[in-house]
Amino acid sequence: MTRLLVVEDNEMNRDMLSRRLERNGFDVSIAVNGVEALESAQANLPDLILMDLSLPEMDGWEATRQLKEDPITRPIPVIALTAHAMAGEKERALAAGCNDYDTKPVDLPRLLAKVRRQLGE
Amino acid sequence: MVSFQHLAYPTRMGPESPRPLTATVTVVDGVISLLDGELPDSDLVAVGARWNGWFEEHESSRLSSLAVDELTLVRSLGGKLLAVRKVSVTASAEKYAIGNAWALLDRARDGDKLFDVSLDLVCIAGLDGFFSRVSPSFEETLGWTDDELYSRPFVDFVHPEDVDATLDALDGLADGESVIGFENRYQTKDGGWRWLGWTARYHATTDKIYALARDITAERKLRIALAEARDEAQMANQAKSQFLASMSHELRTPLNAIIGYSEMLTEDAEAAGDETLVRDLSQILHAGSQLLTLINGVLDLSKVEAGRIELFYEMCDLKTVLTEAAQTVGPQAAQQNNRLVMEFEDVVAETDQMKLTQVVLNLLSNAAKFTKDGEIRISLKRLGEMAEIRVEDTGAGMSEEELQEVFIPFQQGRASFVSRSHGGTGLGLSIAAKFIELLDGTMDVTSEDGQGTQFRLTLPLMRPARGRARAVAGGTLVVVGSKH
Repeated sequence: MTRLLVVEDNEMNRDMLSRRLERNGFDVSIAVNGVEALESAQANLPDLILMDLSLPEMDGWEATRQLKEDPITRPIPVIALTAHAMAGEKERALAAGCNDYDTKPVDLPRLLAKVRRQLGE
Repeated sequence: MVSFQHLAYPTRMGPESPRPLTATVTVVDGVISLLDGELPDSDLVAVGARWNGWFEEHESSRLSSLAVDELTLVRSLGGKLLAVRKVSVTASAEKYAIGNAWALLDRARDGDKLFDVSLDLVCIAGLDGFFSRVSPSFEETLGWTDDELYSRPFVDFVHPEDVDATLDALDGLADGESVIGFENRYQTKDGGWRWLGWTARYHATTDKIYALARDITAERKLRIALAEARDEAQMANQAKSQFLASMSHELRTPLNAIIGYSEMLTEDAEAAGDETLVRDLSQILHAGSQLLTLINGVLDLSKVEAGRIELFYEMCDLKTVLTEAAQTVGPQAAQQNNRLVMEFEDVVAETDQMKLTQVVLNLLSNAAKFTKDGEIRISLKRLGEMAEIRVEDTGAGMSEEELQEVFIPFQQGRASFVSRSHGGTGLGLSIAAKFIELLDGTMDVTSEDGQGTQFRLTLPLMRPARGRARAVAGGTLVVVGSKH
């Protein structure tokens, strides 16, 4: 089963997204900030990370940078998820090392297509 | 230069006894000054004093005489005759000399008049840094008397912060440069400061600076106030756009949950076969997505106004773009029994496909909303270097008043009840119009109540040259008006 790490600080969004992903057949673990995301990624080496960018403790951009600096976590695809739909957000996410980018509210079919593309399916 | 030998025996009309004077004066550009000999100082020459005597003119090698029997000196300072008010000449003088003398004295007199009537500050100064003549307007503007102004170097009156620039300007003058638009502050007698704007030149032949200054204190205040008002307005507008952007963001986060959970519950209800629940949930989803459209619209509009819309130009097959848009709206058009007609030529244009799609979808879905049992026609053709897209319907149309407001945010045609029954945000057309403007196209609309609406877009086939101003506030949007 494909293992996803969902990094999201908003409890409701986290619950909803992880349950909807589980319904679609993914094994989902969660982290609520950048620090937890790093720890979980290093310990569990998920197949893919869905990363909210505005996070407490350590934001998603910094967490992604550190994940991509570590040779062990570098191959894990990261898809940025953010409600900031302002111009330049996509570029900022990609510059931090994210492999792809999507906006919230989540359009599940669209997000799943991006997830599958990153997983090479 | 013409010189006059003054061999006058002046007869003073006053308490003192007359005494002979011999002096050589030069008259250049109407300014008379002493070359040799002596003239009475101003303290000896009262305004209106009368002199009789002879002037002799030296020109080349010729000596001729000019009889002057009446000469009124207005003032004299440091041996310089500063003004000659009135001269009458005896009949025995040679005519050309009389003519010359009159012309020169007339010019001197005209210069005096200008000095006297000028509201601007008129002055003559030396490179020594002293005024040698100032107009009465100096005293009116600054409060200093002429004698106070003559008694100190003029930089003494200049604001300490402006002294260096003033000295630089003087150096420039001495080098033959003209001073135009130089601004400095002069102290007033009551301790205040006035801003003066200067025009000045130095003449080497007379070794003098001729200068004009205007009191621009009020003008400068206005200029600064205008700049401040403009900055404040810009900041306020930016703050507004920033507020809209943050607010949209904050609204999207909870909406994310509403839409997501509704979708989950819909899946559950469908699996359980509960039709009523599915229908109720679809109302929540519908309302949620409408709210999302509204928030996205506000975000788009605030981005346009903050100048933060990015355009992604690419070569687009417009026929394909429009076909896809028409197919998206197809089901909506069919709901109200409308025929959707497409008439496309092959046109390729370099434009932003996403923005154009958003605009066309907006126009088509408006047409579908306001047309029943009718026809919606979308057409594309090439017009020279432009592509022309038309979206026409046979629907409800708009009155002239509605047309005038059609591009204004939150103004929906047919006001209350129709817009409520048709949904929509009232933002779509404002955004569409701004997008088309950003893409250097034009958008106009014609309509008549009950007779359908026709939108016409034009877009350049090639991306306009870089650096071209994209003034969002500008006016490429045209409301053509009602057909009659």
